[in-house]
Amino acid sequence: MSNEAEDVVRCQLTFNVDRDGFFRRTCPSCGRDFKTQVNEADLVASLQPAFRQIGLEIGAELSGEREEEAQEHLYCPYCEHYAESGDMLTQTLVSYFERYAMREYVLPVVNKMFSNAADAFGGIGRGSSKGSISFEIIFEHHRSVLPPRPISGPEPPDMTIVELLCCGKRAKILDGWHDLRLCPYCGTRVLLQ
Amino acid sequence: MNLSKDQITNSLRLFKARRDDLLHEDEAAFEHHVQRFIEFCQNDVLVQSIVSPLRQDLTVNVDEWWEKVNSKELWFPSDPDTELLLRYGILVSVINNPCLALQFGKAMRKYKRDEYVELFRVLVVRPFMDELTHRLGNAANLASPEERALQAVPLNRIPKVNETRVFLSHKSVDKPLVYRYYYALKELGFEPWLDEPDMPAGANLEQEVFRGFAESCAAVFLITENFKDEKYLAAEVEYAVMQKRGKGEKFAIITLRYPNASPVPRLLTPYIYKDVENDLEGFYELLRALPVETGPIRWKAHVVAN
Repeated sequence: MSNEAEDVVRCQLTFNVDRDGFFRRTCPSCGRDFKTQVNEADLVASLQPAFRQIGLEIGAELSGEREEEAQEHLYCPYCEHYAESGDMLTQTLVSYFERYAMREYVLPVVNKMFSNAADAFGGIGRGSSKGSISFEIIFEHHRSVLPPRPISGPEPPDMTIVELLCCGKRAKILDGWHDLRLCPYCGTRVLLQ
Repeated sequence: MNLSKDQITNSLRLFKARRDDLLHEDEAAFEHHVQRFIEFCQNDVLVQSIVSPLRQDLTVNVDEWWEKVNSKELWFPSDPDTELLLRYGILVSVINNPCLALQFGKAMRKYKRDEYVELFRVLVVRPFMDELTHRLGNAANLASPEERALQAVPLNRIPKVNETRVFLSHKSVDKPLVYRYYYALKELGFEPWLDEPDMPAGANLEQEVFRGFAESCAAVFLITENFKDEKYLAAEVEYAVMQKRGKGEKFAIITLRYPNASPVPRLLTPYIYKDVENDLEGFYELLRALPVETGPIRWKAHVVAN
């Protein structure tokens, strides 16, 4: 009988967008922030790599609802760096994911593991006989209180909205940046007016 | 509260950093992070815009709360404002007396530092942070003016300076009518071409008319009851057709036929023509048929001069 249901932990993440419905991103090349419109499907796809990365770091396989969703690509509106949208997440958001995964998935699993191990070995196991080695296993885990859930936001309504007439989408760029030359979504050469 | 967009953004950035340090950083530095957070709150205008009014209107008894904790009673007011202020006061009290966190732990039967600090964070700090985060977000939105959008226009949609004039073809007797179109187009920002204002004295008529077509994105033919035959049109229609062949979608031949006019001349029937009742209808059809669009709505300069 499969125990698949027990192996799947479903977490519902909540994170803030700004008043105008924009999601903050950071260019991995130049480090500047910009914002894109929130599209749930695109967002799930762009967060998949972040989840996988976090999963690798914590030694677990974390996956979202839409495993096969195609990765959206974006251009940085400042340096024109082209990357998968999942590579253009802010450090704040990645930290939020990590904390969330740690609290909701990793620590409960660790607690359960230690609890099972302690049951199996009775806390301390010893073995010794002539010609063999003695060993001692001590299971000690004090994390009885889970850390607080991380909080997302508030996201300031900063930056300037740009309507991209090439693809009909909108983005936000830094105030005072007048040198936008290509659309972050489709890469069309544009002029800011 | 009068804060600039940058101040609000910076305020929220610092708030998030201090909040996350306090909620998630190592237990060993817990009191330090409480102090840093409270110092930030006391000096930040945006946070004070939330906390100060509560202080003026409400009274909370932090000592009483600690006494109840010592009696193993974890109690918070049901009123959200009072609860927020009380939790803020509890954090301030932890700075003044670092032993209080330990005291909280003893009351909750958590004697190891990592456990009682974590429990304090979960039961006292996080609900406060959650509510303050929500209120700060609202305050920041209220304090920030609505943004006006800029437009990023694809380069291929931006015409060159000398290719979007509108050539107005007409009979001399219809001059008053064509001038009404001329001024209406000028008001909208277009550069209509009309023989009188656009032909310098002594200029070669044929050359100037041809140049007028070359610089235009549309040729408009006004057919009124004064129209008798199409001979006078022949040269201009020929020029227009040449432009259409050369420019394709970027050039429109538009014919507006007024009431009681003869049928649309044969030369123009392959192109756009509309029967119109009056100038307004004619102008509407003209704008619809142009290959260029009118600009975004803006305040006139003198309206915002002061």
